[in-house]
Amino acid sequence: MKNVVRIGVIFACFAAFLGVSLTPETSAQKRDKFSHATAGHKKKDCNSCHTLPTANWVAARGFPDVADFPGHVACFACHRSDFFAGNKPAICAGCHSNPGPKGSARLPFPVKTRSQEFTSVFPHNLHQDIIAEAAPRRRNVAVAHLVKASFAVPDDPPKPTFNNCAICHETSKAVPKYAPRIPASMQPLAEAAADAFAPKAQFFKEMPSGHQTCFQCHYQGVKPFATDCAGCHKLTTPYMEEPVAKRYSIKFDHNQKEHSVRDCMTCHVRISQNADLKTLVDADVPFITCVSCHNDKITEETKKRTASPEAQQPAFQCTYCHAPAIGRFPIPKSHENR
Amino acid sequence: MYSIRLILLVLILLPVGAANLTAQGALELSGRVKIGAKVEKVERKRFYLFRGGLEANKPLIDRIKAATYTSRDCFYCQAKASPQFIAWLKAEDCESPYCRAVTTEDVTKVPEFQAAYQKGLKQFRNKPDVARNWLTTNLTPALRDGFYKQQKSSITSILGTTKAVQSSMTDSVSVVAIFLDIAIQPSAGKTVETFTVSIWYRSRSAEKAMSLFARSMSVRRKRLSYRSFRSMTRARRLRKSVMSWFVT
Repeated sequence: MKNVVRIGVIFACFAAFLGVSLTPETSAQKRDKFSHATAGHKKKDCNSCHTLPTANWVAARGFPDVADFPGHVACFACHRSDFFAGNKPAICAGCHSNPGPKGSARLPFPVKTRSQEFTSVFPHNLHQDIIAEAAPRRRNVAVAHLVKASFAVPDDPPKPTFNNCAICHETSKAVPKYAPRIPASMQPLAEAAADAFAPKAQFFKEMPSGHQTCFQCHYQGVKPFATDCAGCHKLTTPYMEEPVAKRYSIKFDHNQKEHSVRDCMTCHVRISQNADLKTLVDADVPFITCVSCHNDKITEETKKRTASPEAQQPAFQCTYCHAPAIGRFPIPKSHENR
Repeated sequence: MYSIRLILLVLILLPVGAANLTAQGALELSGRVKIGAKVEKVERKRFYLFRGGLEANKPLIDRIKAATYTSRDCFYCQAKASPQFIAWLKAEDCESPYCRAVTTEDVTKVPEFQAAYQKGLKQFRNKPDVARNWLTTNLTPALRDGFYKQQKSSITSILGTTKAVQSSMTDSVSVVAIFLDIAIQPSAGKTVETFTVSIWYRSRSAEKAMSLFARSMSVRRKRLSYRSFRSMTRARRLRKSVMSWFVT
């Protein structure tokens, strides 16, 4: 009887092993096997596979771009035998939705669901220097002089659009995914209190996600050229892109009356010094820039925080700038030393 | 020459507690500069912060004094830009075609824009928006970023081997540049470290600046306790109490 059980267990294990190893890979799994980081691929120049622009750019993008997978010729030199491996060669799944000799339909390029292999480097400091000059004021204009009164609609010349931060970062039209930017080195003092606060779309700014903005200047003529992929993109450990806006002060409204009349550079100080966002450790907006206007409110809240343990009460959670998810943390040094 | 070089040097004293040599601080720098009788706002311009006072930075200052500044108008004249192109730049005090968007009207008025636009139309399959929005990619190098490159190369040669501690840009509203997280490293036995701030900049009121060109303003020194500097926002006070401009 024992032997029958043993044989049964062994058989079950073998069946399970076969089941796992013979389960056909999904096309997504096969596709994700492609790696730019293999020794063979790293030897290649980007342009030996990717052409700029691809033939479908007009329909796919509306501007010259790499809007499609490389052609067969790019893979053939090294992977010729893979193309003839069975009825549904695995290599086809890299680009085609229905792998096989008759499946010509291609996946949308780039495949958004697959992991990213490249990071992008954008030196904000250089761009600040060349495009983000002051929007000059018109001079020699008389002020407070009534020259002429008229009820006609004035035929003013259109206001010039200056290229500054807004050329890439427009105000968001919809609320993006957002989350608190939890301080890594601190422990919260309490559970976050209930909070019904919801930011509006105008609290956020867009970020360029494709080549369109970059190519306006870098398509040709200004380095890095559009054909020099490595000029902006660097190979990295594959990661899944998480477009989540992480904030310390989620209650900051860019369009609030007093904020909208300010220059981006009034608060975004560190960005003008930064050559690569990945090296930015501290918040781009230093606390010093908030204090000049909001010191009274900040003082009021820090006093409440200090007073709460003295009065044997739970830690006061700062909510003037922060959601409770952040407002429950200890007061950082930057706030104490103001 | 209408545009001239204007170099602004500011001497700042950062007081430090002798016991706390790893102190960090922040400085706010006002970009409102008195040139002649006028106060000029130096907005959206990059300032460089150097360790040491004017004495310590003498080689740098000598290089600044010896450097020649080619004005915007002069540069574009030499680059054989059309009067319409120069007028387009001057209309909004731009230094390069990246300054503002080129409108369809600008394309019809400025020959260089027209030529680049036509080239773009051919290249970008008759897509007028792409040809206009990507117009700078079809301009000649000199007109596109020649002036910017020349400025950059001047700064690089002036700096030489001198390394700035930090650079920061003034905003256009409060006209303030903020230097953050500056590590204070006073020499042995000292409690104060001196810094110098510099900029490579074309004055707007050039004629006034010309009269100031050979004049140097005295630099006021004042000691503050470390305590008053320690906090970032208290550094704001330094802007009013310690700094004064050295214009050469």
